[in-house]
Amino acid sequence: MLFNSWAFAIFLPIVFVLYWCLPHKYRWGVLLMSSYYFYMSWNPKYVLLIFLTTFAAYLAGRLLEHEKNEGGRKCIVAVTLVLCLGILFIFKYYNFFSENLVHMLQLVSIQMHPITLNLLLPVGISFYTFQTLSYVLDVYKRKVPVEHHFGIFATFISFFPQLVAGPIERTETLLPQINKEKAFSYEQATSGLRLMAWGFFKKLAIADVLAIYVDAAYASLDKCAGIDCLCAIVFFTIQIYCDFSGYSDIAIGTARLLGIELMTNFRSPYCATSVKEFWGRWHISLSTWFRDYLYIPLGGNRGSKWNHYFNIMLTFFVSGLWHGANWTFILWGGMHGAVLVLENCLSKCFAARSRFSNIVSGISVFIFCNIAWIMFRASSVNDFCLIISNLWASLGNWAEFKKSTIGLNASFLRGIAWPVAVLVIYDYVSMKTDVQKWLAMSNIIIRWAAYLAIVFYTILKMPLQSSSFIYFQF
Amino acid sequence: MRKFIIKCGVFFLLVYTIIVLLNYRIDPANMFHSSIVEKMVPLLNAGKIIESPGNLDEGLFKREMIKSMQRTPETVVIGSSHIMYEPWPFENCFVAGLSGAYLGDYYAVVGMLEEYKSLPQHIIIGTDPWAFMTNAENGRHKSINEYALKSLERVQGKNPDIRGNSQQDKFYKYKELFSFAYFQASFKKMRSDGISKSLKEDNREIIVADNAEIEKKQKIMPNGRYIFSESGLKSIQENNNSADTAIRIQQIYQLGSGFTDLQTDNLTQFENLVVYLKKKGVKIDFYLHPWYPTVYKHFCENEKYSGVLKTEEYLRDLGKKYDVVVHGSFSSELTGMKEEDYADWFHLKADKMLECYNIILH
Repeated sequence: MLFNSWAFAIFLPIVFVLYWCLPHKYRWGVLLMSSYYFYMSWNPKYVLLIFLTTFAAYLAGRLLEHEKNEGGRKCIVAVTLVLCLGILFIFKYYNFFSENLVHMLQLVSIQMHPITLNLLLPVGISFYTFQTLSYVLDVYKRKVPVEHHFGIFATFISFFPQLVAGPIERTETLLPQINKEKAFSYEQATSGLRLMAWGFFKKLAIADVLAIYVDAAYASLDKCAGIDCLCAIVFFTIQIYCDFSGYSDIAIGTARLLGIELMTNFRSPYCATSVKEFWGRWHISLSTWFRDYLYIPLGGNRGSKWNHYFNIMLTFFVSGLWHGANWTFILWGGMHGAVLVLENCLSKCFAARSRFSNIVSGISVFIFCNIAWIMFRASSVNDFCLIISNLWASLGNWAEFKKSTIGLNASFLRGIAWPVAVLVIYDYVSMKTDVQKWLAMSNIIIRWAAYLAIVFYTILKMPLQSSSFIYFQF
Repeated sequence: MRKFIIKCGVFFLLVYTIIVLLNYRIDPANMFHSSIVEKMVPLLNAGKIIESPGNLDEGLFKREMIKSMQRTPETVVIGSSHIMYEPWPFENCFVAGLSGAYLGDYYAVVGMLEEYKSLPQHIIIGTDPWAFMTNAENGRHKSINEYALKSLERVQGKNPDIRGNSQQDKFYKYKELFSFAYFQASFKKMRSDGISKSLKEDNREIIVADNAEIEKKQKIMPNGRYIFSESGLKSIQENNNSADTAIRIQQIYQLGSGFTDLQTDNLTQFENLVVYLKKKGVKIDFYLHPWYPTVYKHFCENEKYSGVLKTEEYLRDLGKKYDVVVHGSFSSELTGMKEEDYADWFHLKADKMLECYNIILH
């Protein structure tokens, strides 16, 4: 079930009314059933995977609670990690590793045929697996108490607003909220709706509109050059941000309707003035997950600088692999890791920053992000090279450069310029002030005019066949 | 919570009231203002040429034309816009073309002709490849869907689902009142015509043309044939660009991003229709409109569009089987059509359409 579907428009009010009408002790049941229904509407069979992961983590938690021996505790964690990551590996990475192993063997003249599995990638598997792992690891470190109620625990793992594309929540923030009895808050619910409206605007009025052009460009890369290449690159940078942050806003807004606060996942990432800052603003729930469960356990910035750089690179390669079983994702992670290492090396040279240098750095980071997103969007490294070389080759000749062959025209650019300008202003202002809160405090006429404007603009501009969210595939 | 639900309800009602009101008032396809069709038909029946009122529910228009026919035409031409502009060389000919017509629409036109006792002696079916794609049996023009179902009933015997579907389809237009897609079209019309003009009722007045020349507005002839507007005739450069873009973005009209296999059910239904009409004593001809040269070349070179070539092969086989003459071809090369012969990247110029009709390949 997509957020941008009629099914969800009917589903959410039903869940909302049921949830708030029932006494607290039954609410987890409403959330659990609705979450499983939400997931099963995509593929009923795969709900067994969530159930298996949930059961394994629940059991691990209970066993860890009683196990006093450190060796035994490690063993429990290891078995759970192998099981959860094993499921993830089989469904997401097995074919990739199998094919690459065969390629490597061919290099040493050993001929083999890859044995591949014809499995559909379960939606959101990386998200719920990581949320489960964070629980097991936190219980192991005794950072959070063990959850005894299986139903509530299952609700924590499968909570539908963030089940398929995050934010990846931590045990200490989400689980207590499900447990705690709450009263309906008008302010929280309205702020949820506001955030959902903003999320739908980003997804439907920007991301989906740009997707039409970007998909066409990437589908015919051999013929794509000049302005088409440049626009495809920049548009995808905007598209992926609006698509994913739009989803996160809708997820956070939906959770707020149910009285639950999810973590902020994006904070104006393209306003970052360094790659390090970018990762503090982009997909925050994932970057902090990797920081806490991989980078710091590896040693973080302790030890020699080479250890530090190794830890950064490894974390980013794994982060790239998390996104998908393809070398493009791994290299995308590697590109970010390498630039972060470079930033670390040069940090002393640029310690004091002026306003001007911040602007230059901001533009540089944005350009770097654009280049890295090409790798992310391309289906192979060859495609990445092709788009870069096509763009490069057409740079010298302006007459050729400005000629579009994929239907780019002034009316399309004018049409998309307005919502993108609104987005840029919103992101810039929201670094200094909470725009949503400001809107909530403003005069009723301004508020309702803003709501109507955003709703009607979205309805008028959205493509009639909306696409799925990009991050669902991860 | 009550306050929240009430406010949400008020907001929802406000949004939907605006959508419904604009959809009804502006009504870009004239679905709720059938008076426009009622105004058009008597003028056409009186032999007048009229300016086409832009967005029109073509299904309703053709139904009213057939319903009000004084005498049964000798020849009726069925198909898409590929046959709508052609100066057919027949006396007492009615052009029943519907934009982008699918197989379901062919059935609907035959259904209307039978329903209003106007089944002619001669039917030309301008067959397009998309008529054999998935879901093509449902037809594109929802307002005449019930005639398609009745026609199917006649051709194939009773279908238990027909009544239910027919009932559902009666309400289709009311769904459009709530439709976001219709709202987008309403808004677009409001922007192009101006707010006050688009809301005025006299915006729907019919203008009678005094000649059949190509002028600013598209025109409709008394026999249902359309005349291109000036803006409908594009330059070769524009046509090449449009064709290239369609190929590149993989949106070749109804064929979209690909058409490889013909749907067996559709082939059977089409054959049944041919057999049924032949049994009724109707002479049938097929007419294949050639595609733009670069587009047809693309079909030949890409497996993804191999359905187009398969459709022609199928139609030629069917023609042989039932003694139906196949006029023209999807191939611009075989019919000798060049870029300059096209009005736009999708339609031949009217005289070239007729020239193509006269080509019978063996």
